[in-house]
Amino acid sequence: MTNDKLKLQIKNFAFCIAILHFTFYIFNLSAVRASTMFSDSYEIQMGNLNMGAGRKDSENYALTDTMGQIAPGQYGETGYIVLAGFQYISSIIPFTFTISDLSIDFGSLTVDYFNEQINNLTISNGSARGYEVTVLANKQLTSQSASTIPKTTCGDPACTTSKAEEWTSTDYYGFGFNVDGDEKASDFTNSTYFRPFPDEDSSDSAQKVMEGTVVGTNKKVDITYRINISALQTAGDYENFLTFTAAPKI
Amino acid sequence: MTNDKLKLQIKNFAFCIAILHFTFYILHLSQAHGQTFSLGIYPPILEVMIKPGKTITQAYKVKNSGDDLVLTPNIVSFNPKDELGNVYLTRLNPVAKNWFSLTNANIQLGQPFSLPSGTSQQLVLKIKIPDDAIDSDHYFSLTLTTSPTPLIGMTKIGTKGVITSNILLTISKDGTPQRKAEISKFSSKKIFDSFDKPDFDVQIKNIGQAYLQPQGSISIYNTIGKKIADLELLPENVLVNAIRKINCRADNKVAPCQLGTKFLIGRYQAKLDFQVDAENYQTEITFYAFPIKLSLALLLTGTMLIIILKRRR
Repeated sequence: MTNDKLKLQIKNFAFCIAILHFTFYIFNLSAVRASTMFSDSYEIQMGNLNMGAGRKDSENYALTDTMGQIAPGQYGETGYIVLAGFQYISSIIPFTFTISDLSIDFGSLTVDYFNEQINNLTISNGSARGYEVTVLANKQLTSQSASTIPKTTCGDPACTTSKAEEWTSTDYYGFGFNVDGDEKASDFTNSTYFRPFPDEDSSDSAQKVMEGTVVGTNKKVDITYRINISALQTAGDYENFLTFTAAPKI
Repeated sequence: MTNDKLKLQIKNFAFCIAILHFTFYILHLSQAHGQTFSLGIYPPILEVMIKPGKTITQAYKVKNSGDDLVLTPNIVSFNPKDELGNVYLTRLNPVAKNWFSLTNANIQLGQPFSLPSGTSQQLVLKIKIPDDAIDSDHYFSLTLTTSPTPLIGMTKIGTKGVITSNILLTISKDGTPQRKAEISKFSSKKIFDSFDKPDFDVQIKNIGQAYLQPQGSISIYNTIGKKIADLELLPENVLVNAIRKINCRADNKVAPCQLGTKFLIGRYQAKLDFQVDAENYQTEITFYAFPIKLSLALLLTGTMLIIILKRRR
């Protein structure tokens, strides 16, 4: 083996070692970050500031906020009793709601065609008894010239804001949505079932899209937004806003 | 291979690498632009019994696990929506207009504030009940709403996220509000198969002046009057003038009120027994269990055997 070759091999070896160190360094950083995240594992929350009660939590245990709370007999002296969190659920997981994308862009719409976009909703209700997610639009899809893309009627039978029906034919125009996932509203039988969005302008009330009755994490549904327009639809940029509300059960 | 060819190959390779980098850069940009809403709140419920003229404060932890957000905290009223514990948000009851505020120095109810990605914010809610408030129940939700992202381009739909935490507030001068229940429903199927798991529908109506939590169980007795099982009721909140379907608790988890796997045969009695404050509520139903499927299977097998034997003769 020549000296040059030996040097090259040593260089390669040193390079590999450097890469390995760099990799370990990166992984190590991640681990430190995870550790920082888990530093939540011991948390003293002075939930109720009046009486010094709180939660003493870790991954493995959780004392509920009843600790240090005032017994009913003391009501006469203090004048209040406060209980934070469900007393029969010991969990430090916050009630968390996730919407994957706050803006749904359809771009240019194709006539007589199901133009579709998807985003998803995720719920973690580790500390809540159950939950419901509802949706309400501010108005129908409306252009600057006040033209609207109507609410879909899906087909025959017609769907309503509270009852999904099959929408398989492009002969039916409008805007609607399907929900698919673990804890979807039960009227979305399969991916062909759609509903129009309820909207404030029509004095509709918010409608359920997702509901859970047991404690759990990362419960996810996909929302498929569908628009089908006719050739007679006035050209323009259409838009509206949807409000998704996640509320824990009482 | 000539030098020119080699240079061309190196150039092509460099071009491919550049295209790849550019693609990853674009992809990365796209991800950054798709704004994600991910918000957590604790506690999800607050129960308060308070005297008129008193004030309490409660800390809420709000955590942003998504992109940077602008949030608006607010208080609204709610009504029970169904018997499953869901709520229907309404405008804030005007009576309670001045009862709520935030003690945070820089955050107020109804005013937007920024919550950067990956950060938490403690909101300290102050509830001050006026001296002249009358004994009654009030139900509220603390809501956190995102500000909508601006819509640019052609057909676009903006989405807003709202997360809520409920507040059950009982105003009581003496701390002993009238809590009174009524059994709205206690039922099951009349006849079960011996291998089925009998389940029970329990619904309780609140006819008192304050929300209540039933404490009790469903006890199952067999034909000779021996208790064979106890199903513990979950102490769920039943709001004033509302009916609530009550679930049970099994292995420290929420579960339907359903018997575990047992072979049942004969006549059974299910006794619902619960307490609200010092008052007891009881009722009972009867159901029967028979090995229907097994009997049918035996009958079918017997019939087939007889037919086969007759044919052989």
